[in-house]
Parts: sequence; structure tokens; C-alpha cells
Amino acid sequence: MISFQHNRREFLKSSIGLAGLTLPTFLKARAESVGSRIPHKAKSCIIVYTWGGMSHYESFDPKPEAPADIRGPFGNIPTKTPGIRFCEYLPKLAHHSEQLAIVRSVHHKHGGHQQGMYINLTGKDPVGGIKAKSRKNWPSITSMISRFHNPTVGTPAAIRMPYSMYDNGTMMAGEGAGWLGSKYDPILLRTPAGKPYAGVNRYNDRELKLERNIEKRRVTDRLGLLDQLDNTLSHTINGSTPYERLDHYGQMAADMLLGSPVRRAYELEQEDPRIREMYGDHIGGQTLLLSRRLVEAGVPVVQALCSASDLAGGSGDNWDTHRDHFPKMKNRLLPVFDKSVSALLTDLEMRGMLEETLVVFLTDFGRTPKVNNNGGRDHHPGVYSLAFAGGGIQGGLTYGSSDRKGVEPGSEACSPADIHATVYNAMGIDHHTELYDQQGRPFQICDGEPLPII
Amino acid sequence: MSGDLQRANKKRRAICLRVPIMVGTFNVMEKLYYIFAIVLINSVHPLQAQPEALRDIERLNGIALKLPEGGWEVGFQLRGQKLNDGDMEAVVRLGNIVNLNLRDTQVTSAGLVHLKKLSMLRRLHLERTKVDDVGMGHLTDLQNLEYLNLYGTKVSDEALEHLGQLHRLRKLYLWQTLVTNKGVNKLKKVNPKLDVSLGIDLSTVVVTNQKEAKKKTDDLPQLEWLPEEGAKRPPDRSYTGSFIMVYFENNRSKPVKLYWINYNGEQTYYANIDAGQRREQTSYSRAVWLVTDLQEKRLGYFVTDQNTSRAKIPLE
Repeated sequence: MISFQHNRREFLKSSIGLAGLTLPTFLKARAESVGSRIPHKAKSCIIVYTWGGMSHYESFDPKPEAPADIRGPFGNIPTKTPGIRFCEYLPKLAHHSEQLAIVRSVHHKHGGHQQGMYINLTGKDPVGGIKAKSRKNWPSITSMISRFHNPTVGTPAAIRMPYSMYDNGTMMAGEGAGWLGSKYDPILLRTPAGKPYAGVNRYNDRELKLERNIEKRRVTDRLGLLDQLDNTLSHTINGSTPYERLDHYGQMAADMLLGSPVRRAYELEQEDPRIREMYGDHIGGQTLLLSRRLVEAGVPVVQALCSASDLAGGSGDNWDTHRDHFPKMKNRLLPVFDKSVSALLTDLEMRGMLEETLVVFLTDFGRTPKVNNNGGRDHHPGVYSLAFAGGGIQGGLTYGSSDRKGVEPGSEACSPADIHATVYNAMGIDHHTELYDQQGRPFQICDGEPLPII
Repeated sequence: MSGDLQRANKKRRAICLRVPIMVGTFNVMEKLYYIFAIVLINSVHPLQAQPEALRDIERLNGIALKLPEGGWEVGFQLRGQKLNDGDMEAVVRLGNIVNLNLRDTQVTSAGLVHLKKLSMLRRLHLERTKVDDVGMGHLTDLQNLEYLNLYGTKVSDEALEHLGQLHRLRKLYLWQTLVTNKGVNKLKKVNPKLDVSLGIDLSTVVVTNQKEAKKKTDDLPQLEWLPEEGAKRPPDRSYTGSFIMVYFENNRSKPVKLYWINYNGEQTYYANIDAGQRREQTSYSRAVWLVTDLQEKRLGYFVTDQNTSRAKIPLE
């Protein structure tokens, strides 16, 4: 307050101070977390990953004009959008074409699962030997988004479900935060319901870390957390709780990290059974349902793996269909994908969430034009299809095309980095932003350019 | 206005009166600075009200975010569900609120009266609240409103009559409300640029009866139980085969652990099965499944064939 005991200089100083503003500290924290000045629609992101390489022919880019040994036995169907056709086994998604932007001209040079998955999930070419969980890896897009979108105290910033990606027992690199630091590693949550994908599903890795997203500024919060710690240490794992797979440290972490809106979201029994039915009783559907609930509860980014966990030579319900590709797609993979993704889009739209929630579809690569001797298609990074929905993306369109036989891009070729740039811009993140790793070295977060579909 | 602010303003106004006396002792530049400071302090700067409004919002468990394009986004949907009509006056004091989320709060139509001041409001979330047709009448002044979410509320066609006055409205969400197609069509004629979402009719969704599914398993063939000490040994690994389902049943008095023996002969943990419980498990033909107790002691095996089967773990 003004006091006339001060000399003139001190009075001037104090009066200017009064005219100035003192923001409350919490507001400053919020201001820092909004890392961009780009106006944007999408506040949350759901990344749907089809592990193993989803055939573009038998999904978003059927090739009716190609010779029979390339186009395969499946037909194609019109969608709600004139001029866009999907594989005949995606009938529900065909009704949602007006919400989808299909990119048919993505390509890269990596024919292996690890490299293909790495470039799609991180946007960067894998250099040299890459190892899972290494801090030298590039951060996944899930981690990177969480670096810019900070939720409230007690809510995880990034979640991935229901397990990590493996290839024949080796955990894949690219799902973590790499050089961004462990603070941005997405939290691995297990979807607590749904018939599992056939094949090898690895629920055993325990990735929940204790010190995440806990801003210790409030004593009351800390006491609350300690209370929870006391309670959970007395629990024994009897198999009937959703945390039955975790040892007691993991359970502790889950209790600490899952603040009440997120914990309520996790309890799928609270959801209307008819909504659960709409998503289907398969873990693919229940994972997407849980994704919607987590986004509703304030989690900014969720990664949903819609596949069995371990490729295990392609013998399970993963998209790596080197043998028996057509029966597997028709009977086991496409029906689950069709039903659960349509349910997600319907659900987000009718709750008024679709324009603020960006859904991105990623996969390792496409599959080969020529069907092999085992009735399968092999890896093909030459061209493949990815897709977007919601989050301010224009729907009812295709961007780019593959050539007549689906071998390489026909027009408007683009890379996984361009897909990432599009995601970042839709989320209000400048894709030219420079961040610093723990040694203080600067990195530009993305090398690509956004596609003109926002 | 709070007492503190009132007292501060009184003090500032009192100083203003003393300016003529003081000015004589200063040089020109200092006079100018002094007058500038007094004028600035004396006006109740609009931004001075903000820290207080922000503190109120925080106290009510809301989140306020400054938008890059200007204006505020305020939300109570995550932790502020206790917000009620009485709190609304404090909330709107922030002024330039562009997005407001009141999903799941206790706000009713009465509370919406306070929103009239928010002339810059573009997006309003009222889903899953107790607002009704009366409340919609209070929104007619919000001529910048583009997005209104009313799903899960009791609004009816009467509400839509009021909403016809919102000429900038482009998105309206009415899933699980009492509106009819007639009311919606009428509104669309008044505002052709409006996109209305009615969502799906949940009464058309049939939940498959899980009890029926369980009964069906009684007819399934059963896999042979190969006890650990028994003469008949399982293969040392699984072989690839065709897809089947196995329904494991733990008839023991204690929980067991289920392992799959993979193609390399290694154990892969799948699940615990409680006493008396069953587990629906996807598998392939020619797979080897190992059952142990909770201390990892091997109890026995099942080897699948190409039929979907039951696998009953016998009582000890």
C-alpha cells in the first residue's frame, strides 16, 4: 500500500507495482503448460495402432481395377461419401466416411516391424540399432503430445493400452518418451475387460512408474496420497481387482496416479451396458471404450493397441498376415476393427466430443500387392493408408492416392513425419518447436509438414 | 467487491485529493510519472477483478485456461461437479469467458441466469445436468454461441423454440433428451446452418445375454487332464494350429495359475483362476496349457485339439 513516509523514488516504484498485475501461481503454471500460440480445436488425441502392418488393400484402399492376383478375393463397397470406397468388410466404417480423412499415399523405406513401427510412432527414421526403453530413442507421438498438453494434478498425461508391442519375444523400441525423459513415458494400463486377441498377449511388463505427474505443491494432496499408500500396502493380490496383474508397487503407483476422475473412467462396469455392447465384448472394443472414458476424464492422449501383443510369427490376431491373410482379415481382424472404431466415432460424435478429440490411425506399413504361396501378403512400406477423424480435421475426403496396383504413391506422396506434423498442428503444437534433451541439446520435434486437411 | 478491494480504492481516492499539494515539490518528469501512476491506480483496472475470480474458480475446483486467441476457457467437468447455482455469480465474474464446461455439475436452469453477462461465450457444455426448457430461455442473449451441448438433459421441443434465437449456433447436441424430430426439423428451418446431433437410440441395442452363453458350454467336449505325476506326458511345446476357444474351470478349493507352453517350450503366464471360477480363453489347436498352484507347483496339463472345449481342473 502507498505510504507517504517513503522517499519519492520508492513511492514511484511501489505505485507502478500496484498498477501491475500479480498472477496467482497456479495460473502461471497453466500458462506455461500451453506451449503454443496456434488456435486449435483438438484438446485430446486417441491413437489407434494396428500392430503388424495393416493391408491397405483390405481396408481403406481397395484396388478393383488391379489384376485378380493383386486385388485379392474381397470386393469393395461404397461409403457415405461419393467417390470413396472401402473394403467390403468395413461396412460400419463406411457409414462414418464423412468423419474420416483417409491418407492413401504414405510411404517409407523400412520393411522390418521394429523400424516400421518406430518411424510411424515417432516420425523419425530409426538410426542404427534401436533398443526398447533406451533414453536415446526419439519420443513416441504419444509422449510428445503429453509434453505440450498438461492435465490437472493427479491425472496421467499419456496412457497406452493394453500392452506393449513385441515381435517374437523382443519388446519394441519407440513406445516410450526416449530423450524427453521418464516423466513423459506413457503409463501402461491394462484394459480390464473383453475377449483377448488370440495369440500371444503380454500383460507381464510392469511399466507403471511412481513419480509421474505429481506436482507436490499442495500439502493436502500429498497427505491424501500417503493415506492411499497406507491403504494399498495392506492389500494382497487376490485376483479380483483390476490390478490383479501388478505387484504391490505397481498397485501403489496405480492408486497414486489414478486420481478420481481417471479411476472412475477405468471402471468399465459403470458404463451403460448398451454402450459396452455397441463397442463389442472384444478387448479391441473395450480398449476404445476405455480410451473415450479416459479422454472424457481429462487425459490428453491415449494410445490404443488394436492387435495381439506379440507378432509371434504372425500366428495370432495381429495384422502381420503372412499366411491365411484373407480368412483372418474377414473373420477375426476386420470385424473387430469395424465394430469398435465405428462405435468410438459414434460415441464421440453424439457426446459432442469428436471435434475436440483427434483420432489417428497408425500402422507399421502396408502389405504386398502379390499374394504369396501361403495365401498371405508380406510387408510393403512402398505405399499404405493411414487415417484421421475428428479434432478439427476435414472429414469425407481422401488425401493422396496410391498407383493403380497399390505399389507406390500415385499422387501427393507423404511420410509418417507429415502425418505427425498434421497431428501436432491439430493439437495446437507448432511442429517446428525446438525442445531440449537432458543434456541441453536442441531437437526440432518434427521433420514433416502438415497435410492440408485441417 | 470484497472488503479489501473497497478499502484499497478508498485509500487511492484519498490520495488523488492530495495531488495538488505534492505536485509543487517535484520536477516536471516526476510530476508526469506521479499523475500517470495515480490515474492508473485510481481507475479500478478490470484486470484487478480477475485474480479474485480466478481464485474463486480454483476454490470451486474449476480450471481456467487463457486461450491463445484471447479469452478464457473455464471448466468444472473434471473435479468441480459440486458446483451449484449459488456459485455461478462468482464464476461469471471472470468476464471474457469464451468456453464454459458445466458437464455433470449441480447447476440448474436457475443458475443459467448468470450467463447472460457472458456475451463473448462461444461454447457451452451443459450435458448431464438438470437444466431444462426454462434454462434455455436464459441463453437467448448469447448471440456469439456456436456450440451447445445438452445431451442427457430433460430439454424438449419447447427448449428448441428458445434456441432458434441463437443465430450463430452451428452445433447442437441432443442425444438422450426429450426432443422430437418435429421440434428438431422446425429448428433447422429457422437456422439452416445448424448441425443437430441426436445420437443413437439405445433401445435398439440388444445386450447379449451372458448367462445363455454359459449354458452352451455344458455341451462342449472336454479335454483330458494330464496330472503332473501321471504316466501320460504332454508334448514339450505347443504347435501352431487353428483357432479355438477353451473354457477352463477351476474345481479346486484354491486359486490356480494358468500358463501356456509356447512354441519354444517356455512358460508364458496368462492368468490366475480363482477357486470355483471359469476362464474363457482363446487358443489354437495343438497348444499345451500348464496349471500350477499359487506357489508355482505344477499340477497338470491340457493339450488342445481342433475343437472348442472345456478344460476342467479336478478337485485335489
